[in-house]
Amino acid sequence: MSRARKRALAVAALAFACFAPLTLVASACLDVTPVVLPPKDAAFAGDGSCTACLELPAAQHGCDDQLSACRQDPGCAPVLTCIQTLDCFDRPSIDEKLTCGAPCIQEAGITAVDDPRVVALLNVVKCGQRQCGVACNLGDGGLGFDAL
Amino acid sequence: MTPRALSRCVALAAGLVGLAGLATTTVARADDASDLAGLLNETVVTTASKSAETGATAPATSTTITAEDLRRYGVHSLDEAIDFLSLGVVTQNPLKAVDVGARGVLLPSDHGDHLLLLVNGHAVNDGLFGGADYGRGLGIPLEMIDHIEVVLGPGSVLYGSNAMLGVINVITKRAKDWKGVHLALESELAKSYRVAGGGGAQFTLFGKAGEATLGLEYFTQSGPPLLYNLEYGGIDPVSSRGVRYSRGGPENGYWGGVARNGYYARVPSGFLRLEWGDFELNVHAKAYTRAAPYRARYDSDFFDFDDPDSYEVDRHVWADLRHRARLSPIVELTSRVYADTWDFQSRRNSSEASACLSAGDASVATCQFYTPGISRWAGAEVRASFDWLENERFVTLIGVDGRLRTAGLKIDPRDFATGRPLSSSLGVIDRQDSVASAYAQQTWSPTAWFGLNAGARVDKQTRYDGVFSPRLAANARPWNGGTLRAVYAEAFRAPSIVESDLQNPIQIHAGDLRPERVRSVEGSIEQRFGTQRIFFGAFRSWWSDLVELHVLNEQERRDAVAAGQLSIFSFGAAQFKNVAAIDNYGMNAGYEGSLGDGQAFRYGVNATAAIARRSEAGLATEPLAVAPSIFGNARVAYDLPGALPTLALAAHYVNKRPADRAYDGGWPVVPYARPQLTGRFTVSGPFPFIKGLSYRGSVDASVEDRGAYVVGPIQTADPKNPSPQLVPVDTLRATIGLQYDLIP
Repeated sequence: MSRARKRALAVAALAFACFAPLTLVASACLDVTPVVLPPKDAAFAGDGSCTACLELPAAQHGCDDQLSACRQDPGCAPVLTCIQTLDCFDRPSIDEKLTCGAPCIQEAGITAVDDPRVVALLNVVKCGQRQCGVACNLGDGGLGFDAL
Repeated sequence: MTPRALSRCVALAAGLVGLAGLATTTVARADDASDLAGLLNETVVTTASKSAETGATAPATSTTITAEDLRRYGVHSLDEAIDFLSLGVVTQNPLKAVDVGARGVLLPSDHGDHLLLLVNGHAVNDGLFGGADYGRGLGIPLEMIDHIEVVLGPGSVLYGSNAMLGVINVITKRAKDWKGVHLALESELAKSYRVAGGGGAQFTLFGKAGEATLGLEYFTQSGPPLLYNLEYGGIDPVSSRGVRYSRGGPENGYWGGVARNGYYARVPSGFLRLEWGDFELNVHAKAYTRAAPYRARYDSDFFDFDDPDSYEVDRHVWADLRHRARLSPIVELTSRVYADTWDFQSRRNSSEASACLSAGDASVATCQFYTPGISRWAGAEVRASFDWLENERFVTLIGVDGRLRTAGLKIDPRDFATGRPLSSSLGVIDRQDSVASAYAQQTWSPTAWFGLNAGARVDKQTRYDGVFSPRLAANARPWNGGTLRAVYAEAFRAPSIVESDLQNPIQIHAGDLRPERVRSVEGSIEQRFGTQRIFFGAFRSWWSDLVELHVLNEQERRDAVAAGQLSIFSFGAAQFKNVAAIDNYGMNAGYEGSLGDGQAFRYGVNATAAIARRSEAGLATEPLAVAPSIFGNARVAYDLPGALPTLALAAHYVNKRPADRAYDGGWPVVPYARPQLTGRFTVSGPFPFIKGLSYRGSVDASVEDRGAYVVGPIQTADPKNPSPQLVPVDTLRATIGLQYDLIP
């Protein structure tokens, strides 16, 4: 084999000798350690504006009628109490409100959105969308609860 | 395809074979030269029983695709080799990872995990999803491939998991066939280019003969531009405005257009094979980056249209060290140790407010779902072959294989612009497992015209009970050139780690999954007339416990919520379950041969007709989505004399097949992809006046511009969209290439 061919083969071998370990090292560096963020309510201190708005009488663009309906329902009342204890209505975003309320719903054994207790709760939220959209950051469209 | 249609096809194929037989009796001359050519044309396969034997007597139907075939017919990748040259196997391309099926069974988006892919006997299916790269992502320079063995039918008896449809073994060249230095440059005009180099050398070290072959390759593809019809995705329920489908784009709800940036691939790779004395070392490294502009149910629920920053990367490095020892005239011992590291990264960017809500923050403009996954495995296999009579007529093979594996995966939702995590990792997998296997095979040829092959394997893995995979095959050669074969075999596929372990807010843990199983019977007849070969086979297979992502019904969803596995607000939640079975039967037929001095004129045709129907408890049976029921290929090539080129024409056909969402999209009319015929004309030969320089050019044309995968945000029917949009197909391709062989 000529010197030129030997050199070409040596260069190719060297390239491979570099490429394979590089790929190996790159692979070894891939980090699959889970990212764990602190719970979003870790230092949550809501200003209570959403709850305050909801508690207003309907005549003053509040939702106290829907809250009362829920409180009078023995199934809905404990869930609402749980949700209000955790300040879920005052969470800054929709997904945080949902995440916050999930344990209360779980605790109550609710497994479907057509559960009467959920219907009563959703009526509160729908009312909040209409009457307290700004205070509760529910926007004008919200999550589209009508579609649930 | 109806049973009546199949019977017509069988009759037609039988007629064709019969006609071919008549034809060959006229062209085949039973003289010494022809017999010699026939012997030279006899294919030798090593994959079916881990020992060299002729294709006719191997315990499974097989196709051997040679390096000359790959060059002659302008093949650029393994999936093209399968489609244009193999019998019984077919691929479908959703523009990303290729799906591979065989004999009427193809499972959409399985990425080839029902086939076992080997490179020089080393299994390269990944350890996390179980799939393999059959397209450009294989990462082996085509010029370095000596031949490809495509073995049909269950092959777990010697290879364990994944070998349900068959086993494909890519064998690289020995140094004597690739000595010197080789360079190749190829371009699919305006779409891709590939540069490859390498060589082979023989040497003597410490008194022992050795050889080395090495190949390096870089492939890159960009485009072509693909047209996606505009689809209206509606109002985003979170933003209350039209859905936004591009970063910084309008919130108008429209998806589609001409994709110019989001369809590309890059594959640097290298392969090294070293032999020294009784040792053989194979090392392979590759990195496969790919992006496709489409959006589909199985691969990508949502990501921005034509986004170059939404892509996937696979990286795979493996080494396989083998030692062969002849302990006595009877006993040969083969030992090998191997190790693989494979990782995967997926970046999917979405500018949909609702997608970012599920990521954890609907206020970010574009969120990214970053999914890194990694799997490493290492193992050792020892097998002993006992040639009791020292004439290869009564051979016992026993072996054990042990493997340890670790795998991890997570999904990180984050802000695309800043990389800030939007929520804790989802879908976290951290798994260590092991597989212990033992197998045995007995071959017995009591007479020159009759042979038996019986074997069985047991695989025990951490995540499931032991699986028993038997095979029994018999062949008879009752007349000159004729071979009859009957095979019964079983195989399995262990649920992938992703299937068994992944859970996230809309997917609950699979629980106890069972391995998928298949049982198969087949019979075949093969006849050789000099250089002509005719094959006809019929098969039937029964598949059970197929693992699918099952969308929970209302009761299952309520149960999962009650068990704390799902949020009450999780809709469309799913779970991997053993849900389906398949009943499959049909026939294969093939004819190939050559004529003329030096076999200058070559030709061949392969055809498969099959019925495969999926069944699930409580549902009506239905044909398999995406799987063609009739497919095949035909080819003809002529080597012009002297330095003139070789002209070759190859064609590949698949009949109409249901789209991947044919049965779960609620379409008023089941959507089908129309029959596809692809033809390729290739010219290749030596460059005049420049020794060692050769060229190859090819043109491909396809008649249909749409494939069998539903794309776009409209994945299910609604009154405004009664039919789906199917993935575009690149219908015209032209490729030119140069190769320089500096041979001492």
